[in-house]
Amino acid sequence: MYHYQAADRQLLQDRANQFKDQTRRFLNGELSDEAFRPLRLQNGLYFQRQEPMLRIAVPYGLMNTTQVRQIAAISRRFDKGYAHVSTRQNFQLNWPSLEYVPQILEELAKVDMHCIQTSGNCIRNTTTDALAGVAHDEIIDPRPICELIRQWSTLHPEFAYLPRKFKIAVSGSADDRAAIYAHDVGIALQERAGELGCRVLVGGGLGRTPVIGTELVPWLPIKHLLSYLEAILRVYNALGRRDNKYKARIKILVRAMGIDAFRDAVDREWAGLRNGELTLTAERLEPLQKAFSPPAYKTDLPPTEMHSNPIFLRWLSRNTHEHKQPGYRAVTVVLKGHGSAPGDVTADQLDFLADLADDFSFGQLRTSHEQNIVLADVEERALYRLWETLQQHGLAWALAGSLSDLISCPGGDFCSLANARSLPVAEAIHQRFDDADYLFDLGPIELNISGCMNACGHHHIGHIGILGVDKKGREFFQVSIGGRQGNKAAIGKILGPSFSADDIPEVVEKLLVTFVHNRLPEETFIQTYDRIGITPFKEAVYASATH
Amino acid sequence: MPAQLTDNEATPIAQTDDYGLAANDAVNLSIPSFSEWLTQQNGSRLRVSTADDIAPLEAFIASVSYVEIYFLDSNDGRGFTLGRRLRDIGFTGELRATGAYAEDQLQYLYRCGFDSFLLPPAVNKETASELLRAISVTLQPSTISERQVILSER
Repeated sequence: MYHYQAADRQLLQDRANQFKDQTRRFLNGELSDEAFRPLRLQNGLYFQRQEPMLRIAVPYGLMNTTQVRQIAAISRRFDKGYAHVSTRQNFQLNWPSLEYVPQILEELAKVDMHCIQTSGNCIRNTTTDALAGVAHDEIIDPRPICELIRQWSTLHPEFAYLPRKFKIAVSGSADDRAAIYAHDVGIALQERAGELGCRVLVGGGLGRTPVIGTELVPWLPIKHLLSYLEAILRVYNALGRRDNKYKARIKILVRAMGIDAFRDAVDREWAGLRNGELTLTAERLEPLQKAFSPPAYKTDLPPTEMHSNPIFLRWLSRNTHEHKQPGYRAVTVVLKGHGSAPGDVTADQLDFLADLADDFSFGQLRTSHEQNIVLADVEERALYRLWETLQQHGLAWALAGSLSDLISCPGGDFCSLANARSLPVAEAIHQRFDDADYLFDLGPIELNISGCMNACGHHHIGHIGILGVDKKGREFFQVSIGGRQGNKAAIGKILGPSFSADDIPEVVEKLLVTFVHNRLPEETFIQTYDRIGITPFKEAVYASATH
Repeated sequence: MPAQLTDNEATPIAQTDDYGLAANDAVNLSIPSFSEWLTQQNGSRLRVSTADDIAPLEAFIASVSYVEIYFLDSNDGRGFTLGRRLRDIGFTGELRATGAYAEDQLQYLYRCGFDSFLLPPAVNKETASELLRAISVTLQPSTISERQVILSER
């Protein structure tokens, strides 16, 4: 993993001091609410319904165990002893008091962590595949490029006051696991005749106006990546709408201009930047690539005969992933379960996961955009022991990619934007569907819940998507099906009129019954949906309502 | 400090320019606005707003010695790109920020090519000098060289 240099550390120290001074000026009245707002947001601090929420950056989802233990310690000392993994691979603290935030930033800086640009109208944390560097189908490890983008975008003087937030995702695999089609800019790394380059997508995004990204350029040599990104951001900063925050994302600009005119504008801007100081040299790229070279894998591992415990085997088939290194697998620890919000993890669990990462996975772990933790480099022969340990801590219960691994935003219990409380709905679904055999037999189903149109729960790309809507002050939930992430990313179709929170488990059950009833052997939910269409699902859900 | 205008009845309607700005917005109306300058195309000093498209300026940039960019509001980030673009097309003169930018933006503005600031109200030169040095390292290559900064208090 990338190790912070003196300059990176100095920057964090300066930033912590800067924010301390800004907070002091806010608290003594020198800065108004309005003046303080962009400053605190660019340090990840939201003022919420209850206490503020602080979002901690986890660049491209990668952490060492010292950092994980520090998050645990901070959550105990300054918060309620738990943290939350967001759908953009960051950590959130839900209850820190404003006066402690500068101190939290200092504590974070001690382990090379920060909250820079985790909110606000700036370039946000760059995200990638949680299996980066280990995925069996990987063409290029995206992490060096993510780190390059992190450095370029950190405190970039020109792009801190964009029309709206700006999110970049990078994928280096045949299968897109980074949702690059749902980002302001999506980068698909490629290789052509031995040269590293990428395909660039623009204008994807969820939110109120969900759009699948459009190809801006099919091939860009990697040496031009940063100057090209700078050109894109410059066009967006100059021309993006600022009169209406709901029409301010780059997707609206791209749609208004048309992709060809937008591309022309980027090319005109790029003409002045191309081959300039941002041009990536081998001397610049190689140390980054070296920082992410593989850990000391054992190459002489004997073939492993897996334990025959059926519950273990079920977990093995769903929660572990093929690895590019023979004898190893990547493991997903699902942070979903009864009584807590999806993605919530207690300080004790964080310490436990850090111990596991030290024992089983070279002292590193990852956050995933499915709000889970990934141990990327586990020896196959250690899997049963790992599973037993996870079981003892209640962390081997949920199946990755099943209904029990549902994604949800924090919703109206915490967020001032939300129309509806998404967590009780998530909890009701967990309670209704807690039979592990049934969940396993259903196969992969992605269920996503967002408390409002801002779509932090990515409901548009859930196989089953649930969206909280406000109708005359009462909360309702709209259900869509058929959405998906990956190379065939698509926006789900709305079933019909919305439901009350209490109806949702019943509605989900009807969708599942319809699926089971119609499925061909080995078919997944989304395959059945593609074959039979929305109508049978619609009929099943709304038929009984008319009785 | 401009004189405080307390009696609206007695105040004549202020002269405003084509941005709707009046002299008491701390704007020097004797300097031509971008559109006024365009009709003459020979002055060496001009005022630009964040909404102007400065492309026509490029051909004349060598004869321009002073550009003032007026920020209508502190969240309007177009001024940052405008500053960079002016420097990119070869503007070497004084680039002044005026209007409603925030003091915590001073360092970013400097790094985008501004070297002259009409400071926000209640910000003195000493505070401004500290804010200009808030972050001591940069992770982006800089195309703009170190230069003297002009600070003016209101």
